[in-house]
Amino acid sequence: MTSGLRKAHKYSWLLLIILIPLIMVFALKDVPLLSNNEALTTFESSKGNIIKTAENDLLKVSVRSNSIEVILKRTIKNASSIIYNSDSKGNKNHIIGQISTVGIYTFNIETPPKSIVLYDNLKGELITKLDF
Amino acid sequence: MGLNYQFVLWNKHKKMYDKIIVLSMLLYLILFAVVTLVFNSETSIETLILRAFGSLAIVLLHIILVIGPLSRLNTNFLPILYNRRHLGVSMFITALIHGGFALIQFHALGNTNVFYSLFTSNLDYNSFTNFPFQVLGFFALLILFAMASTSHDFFLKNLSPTVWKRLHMLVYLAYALIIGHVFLGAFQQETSPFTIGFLSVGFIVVGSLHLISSFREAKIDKSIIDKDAQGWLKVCTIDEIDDDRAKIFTVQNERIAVFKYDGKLSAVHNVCKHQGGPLGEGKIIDGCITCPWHGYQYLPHNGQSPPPFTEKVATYELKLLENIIYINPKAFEEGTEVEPTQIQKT
Repeated sequence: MTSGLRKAHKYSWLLLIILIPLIMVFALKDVPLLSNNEALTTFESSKGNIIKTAENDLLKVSVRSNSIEVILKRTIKNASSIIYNSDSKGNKNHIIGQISTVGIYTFNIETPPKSIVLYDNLKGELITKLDF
Repeated sequence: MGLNYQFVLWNKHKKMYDKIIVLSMLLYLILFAVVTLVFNSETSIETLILRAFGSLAIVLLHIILVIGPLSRLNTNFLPILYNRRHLGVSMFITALIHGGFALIQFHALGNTNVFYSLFTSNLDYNSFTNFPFQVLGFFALLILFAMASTSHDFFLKNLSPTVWKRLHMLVYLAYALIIGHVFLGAFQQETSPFTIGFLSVGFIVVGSLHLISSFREAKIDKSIIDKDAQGWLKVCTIDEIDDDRAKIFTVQNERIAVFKYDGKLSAVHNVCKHQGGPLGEGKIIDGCITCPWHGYQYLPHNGQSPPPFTEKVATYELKLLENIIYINPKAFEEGTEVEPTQIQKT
């Protein structure tokens, strides 16, 4: 390599050594590691009495004191479909869990939600919203 | 090196190397599918394809990025460097399958244009964590496409080695875009410490190797060589150079390779005209200086590639006083004949 190319390589990597860790840290700073990953894939049997239910053409949801049961009625085309606890305006709060194929999903919750949204994180669009 | 352009310049070693690449890639894809189906049987086939090819492309990119500095630090890695281009094209094809499938899966099934959908489906461009990460992957794929499509020697010759090399250094930008693509995309949903750890360790390894080799090169560039009264540089004794090998010195920020062969000494500019390989790390084969990167050859006494090839490098004048080699730092025009310095037997 010529001296110019050697310098270009060196300064490129000095820049990347600073830039890439910043990307990594800022990207992960709001991501709850491990704990929520478990929440994403929790399938536990339901316990306790149903407190409230809601239903639309896509979902049927039953809320218990410490768990929420979600029945996905039909296939959705969205590759990413995550259920969030939300406020009445549909603003996402925290992740309840992820659903994919048609079926029954049960997730642990700390407090019963007033409303939930099913959200596609890849497209950044709301799939559906249910109020209790 | 070849005189006429061929679509793919294969030889026995490259064919063997390519077989290893293809088999390793297939093995990875099969293992990925098996592990995914065993530990996460709910995964859909679409997701499996996206993740398998996406992760394979990242693994290949890390391997490609460490080959350069490893070869600088240890010449045993030079055979891998010789074959790096085929690995790069393989990586692009893998990334293209991932990117193409993602475009079809997420953006081609609606009633809007695929690319319009890609850039507008998530308009959170002001946010960092919700940034439309697919756009980052798309631009990385464009860079990889530019690199793969110009990887042939035809483009290297016609773009000029300097322009070609600078174009291919965009791989560093592609790497940063891909890191952003993964950390702002997949890792926002699948927060496995294993995958995050793998990419973080990968970055530390790649970055460290590049910095270590860069600083080592910079140290060599700054080394000071004594001058005699006429301005000739005192470089080394004859015994410090092995037969049919060279020793490299930095003169006015450029590297010069001093070769010892057939009882003679000759000096040429150290940078190969093909891809900037270090000629002084090669050896004399069939009377020619042979570049360790891709086998380009030059005659030591005039810096010219043997006919019918036309590449030329600059030559330098040497003198020998009491077994000490001196070099005139003023370079001759590329391809200038310089009488080799005879080594007198004692």
